[in-house]
Amino acid sequence: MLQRSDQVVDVLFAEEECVVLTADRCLRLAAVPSAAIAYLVGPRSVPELRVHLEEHFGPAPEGNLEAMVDELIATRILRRLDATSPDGA
Amino acid sequence: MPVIHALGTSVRVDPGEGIDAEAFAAAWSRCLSDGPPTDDAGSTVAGAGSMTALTQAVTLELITRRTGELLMLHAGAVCDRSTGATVAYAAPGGTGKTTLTTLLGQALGYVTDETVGIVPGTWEVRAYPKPLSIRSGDPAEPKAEHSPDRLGLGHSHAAPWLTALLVLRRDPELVSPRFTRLGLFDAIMALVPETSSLARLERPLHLLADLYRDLGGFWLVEYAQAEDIATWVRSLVEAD
Repeated sequence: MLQRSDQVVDVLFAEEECVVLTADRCLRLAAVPSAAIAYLVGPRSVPELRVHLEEHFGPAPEGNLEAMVDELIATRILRRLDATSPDGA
Repeated sequence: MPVIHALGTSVRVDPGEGIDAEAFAAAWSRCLSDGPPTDDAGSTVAGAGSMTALTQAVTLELITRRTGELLMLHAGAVCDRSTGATVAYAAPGGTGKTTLTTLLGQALGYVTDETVGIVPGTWEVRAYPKPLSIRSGDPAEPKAEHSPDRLGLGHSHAAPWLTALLVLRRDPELVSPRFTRLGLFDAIMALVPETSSLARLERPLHLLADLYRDLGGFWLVEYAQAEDIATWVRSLVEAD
């Protein structure tokens, strides 16, 4: 399961993009990761996130979603709630 | 023991033996008072051997006191002395804030050359008219603290309020200055690195967005010399 990290201090959305402020950095995100951040206010699985994003943006090339999730976790914008499940499902 | 009033708070200061009392009083003339601290946090800023080190210590203490209360920017600011309309210009250290402040302050009120404190929502400015840290012509020499009085800077309005916010980018190679009204996210991304303890404020990105909306946007000002932009910056406050 994935959820927005408690390191996120504030998120500002505008015109499909967003800016995220954490305790130690400020990041500007494009439309797809912004939609993911908006969706992951509460816990969601990776398959649920995939369906949600495909409804808005169509199917993503293989591996893109996982890479985006890994990057958002690395920047401490998202967190995995169940570390034992490699796909977060 | 002297008390420095700035950023809407106050600190006791013990300059220490290495600092001349008259020079200290002259440099801090705009902030000193004989009265008690407005809020007695019990701590005293002690001299660190030089005026510059003392100024840095005072600034750090003041910022710490207002963390979570004021939107604090690494910025210089000057105001119209009759209306209090204030323009603040954010920029990294060593890129021209003090030089621009010294120039603008000949005709406008000196609010600060380093730290602007802004009250969330009302956008009132809490002045910090500290000594100005200026390097002599020799870049190898350390900076020295200069009294705003001796530099001929005007006094701040008693209740300054923000009317314009600029992000400065100095480029000595630039032939003529460029003035660009930034989009919301460009403005936020440019300004966030010049804030102090932003994350401690309530919904800080929304606060910046509110400020952006109320000021009609933030400006990116790219310039080579302070003289190139002084008239334009003055017009931002004198028009109000």
